[in-house]
Amino acid sequence: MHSLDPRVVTLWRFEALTAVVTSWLPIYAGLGWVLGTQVGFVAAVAGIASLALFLVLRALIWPALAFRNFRYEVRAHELIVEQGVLFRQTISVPRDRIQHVDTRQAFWERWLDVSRLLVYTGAGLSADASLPGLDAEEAVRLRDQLARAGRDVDDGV
Amino acid sequence: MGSDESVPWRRLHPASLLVNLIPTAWRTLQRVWPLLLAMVFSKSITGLVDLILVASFFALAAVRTVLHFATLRYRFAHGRLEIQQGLISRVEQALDPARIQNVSLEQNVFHRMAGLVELRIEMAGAGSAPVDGMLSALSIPEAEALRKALGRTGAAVDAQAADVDVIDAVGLLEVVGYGVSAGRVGAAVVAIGLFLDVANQVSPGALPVQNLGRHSWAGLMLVALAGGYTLSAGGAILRFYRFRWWQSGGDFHFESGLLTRRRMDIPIRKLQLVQITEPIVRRAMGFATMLFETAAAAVPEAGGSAEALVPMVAREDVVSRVRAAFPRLDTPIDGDLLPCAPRAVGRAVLRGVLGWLGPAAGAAFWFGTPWAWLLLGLGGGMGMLDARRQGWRVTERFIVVRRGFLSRDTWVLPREKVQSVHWVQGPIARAAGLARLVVWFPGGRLPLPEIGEVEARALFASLRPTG
Repeated sequence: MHSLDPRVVTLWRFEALTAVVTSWLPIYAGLGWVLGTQVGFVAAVAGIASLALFLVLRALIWPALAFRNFRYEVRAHELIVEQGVLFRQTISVPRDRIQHVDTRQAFWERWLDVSRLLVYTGAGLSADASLPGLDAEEAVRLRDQLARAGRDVDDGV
Repeated sequence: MGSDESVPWRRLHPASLLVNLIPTAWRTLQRVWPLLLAMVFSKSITGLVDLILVASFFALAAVRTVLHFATLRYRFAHGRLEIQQGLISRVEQALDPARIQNVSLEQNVFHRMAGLVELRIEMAGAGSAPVDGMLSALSIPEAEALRKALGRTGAAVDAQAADVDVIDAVGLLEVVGYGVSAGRVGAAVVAIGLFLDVANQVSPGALPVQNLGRHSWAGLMLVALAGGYTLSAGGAILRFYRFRWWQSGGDFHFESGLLTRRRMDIPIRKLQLVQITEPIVRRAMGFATMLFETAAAAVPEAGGSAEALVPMVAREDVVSRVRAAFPRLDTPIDGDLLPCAPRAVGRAVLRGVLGWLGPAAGAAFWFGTPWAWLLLGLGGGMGMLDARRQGWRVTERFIVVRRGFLSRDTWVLPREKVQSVHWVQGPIARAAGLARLVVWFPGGRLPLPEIGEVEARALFASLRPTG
């Protein structure tokens, strides 16, 4: 089984730290308001600081754990992906079921020159399997390799 | 290629202007109902303003109808159905006949009066639109020509089910039974509550809600129950009156409806999943409901919104009806299924208790602690009963899953339709040595009951491709 590119740890840390600053702002404000009115200013600052510290630590530690638990392999008849720290998942996507394969690069991914590979089957709800943080060239190679497999077979749809 | 380019574009039937006006006006009104409600109960707006507002809604509907007629063009060219529509936002669709999951034909009262039909086409995939291709008013010969161009081999547009071909027909009493057992009492209770609130706002004191005695409240509840059951039965009659399910060639056809007649044509090879659903009242009546899914259903879980539905099937006929859809069925689908892991029952009890924590907290606050304990016990008990009714089986060709106590559901999925298999395990399940498989198929996902980790690994391996 293959690991992701180690740069993905940096990518996930950037993404998580960005979320600590932006997505959690309303929570900080709500917590600060509740603690500030009920207990006092010092308690509000301490509460927000504790939450932010916890989130920062999580943003630094969790990506390393997720990287360690993420494995994938393209086999003769399937793509197999193992992932998850607390909630573990093993996914088997038969190669002859693959409808299309996408590669995507968001802002941080372009900066680190890594890509996300998304594998879709006829299930069509969302990507059946997602390989984040692949080296950009490796992602393109994998995309072409997987996209070739599903042609001219009964896809069950 | 050149000859395809010269295929002329066709337009909807001119009578669509009349046929579509009322439904479009209704849809417009549905979108602005809060404004209308405020208008009705507001005392500050004069009758003239009311009139202008209502007239403007109908004018808007008329403009939308005219735009729909004027901008929609279609043709069958390049081996596919091409549809163009829209004025400001232009949409062009190319529908490949090989990817069509089902075709439905609808005739509301106005269609029937004008001798027209609405043709709807659903494709595979998870598009946000409810229908991929819709031609809202075609003459019957036009619809028939299009149906043939799309390669449909089944019944003609105006075909009726011959008695010999009918797989199932549902009588009026059974339709009423379906409505009654659908259980929409909650909606009636909410409607009565809303009515009392609005009445109190409009005319304070006219209905002394605060001073209603026990008997009055009991009477109101009875009215709510009767109203709920009447609404459910009425809705079922509107939708399933003279229900027929028949087969011609390789297609299933489902036809029903009182005011709007709807016929759904589904190629049998496109069927992905059959769901048998049995709410407790329907089960007590000896009936089940069957739902047929194709890849057109964009639902997050199996059983969301099926393409076709047989409202009432006698319990003893269910297996033969499933075999009509899947002739190679190689497993029992009712009694003889494997249970979930014993430890999963404990988790289900815990989930049941946690699910009822909110209502229990409310009960403790309003009525006292014993009521809270009663609710928590009820939640745990329901969780246990639900887990004990779970069942599954994976054979060479099929996957069968059953869940639910109050409302029991059974899913039958051919293995050849499976797109990917997911083995999932959360931290608590890992501590208990449990795991679950989730099977993704075109149009949905089917989670199997929790089983032992080792067994789940073996099952996962058996579902993976071997070449």
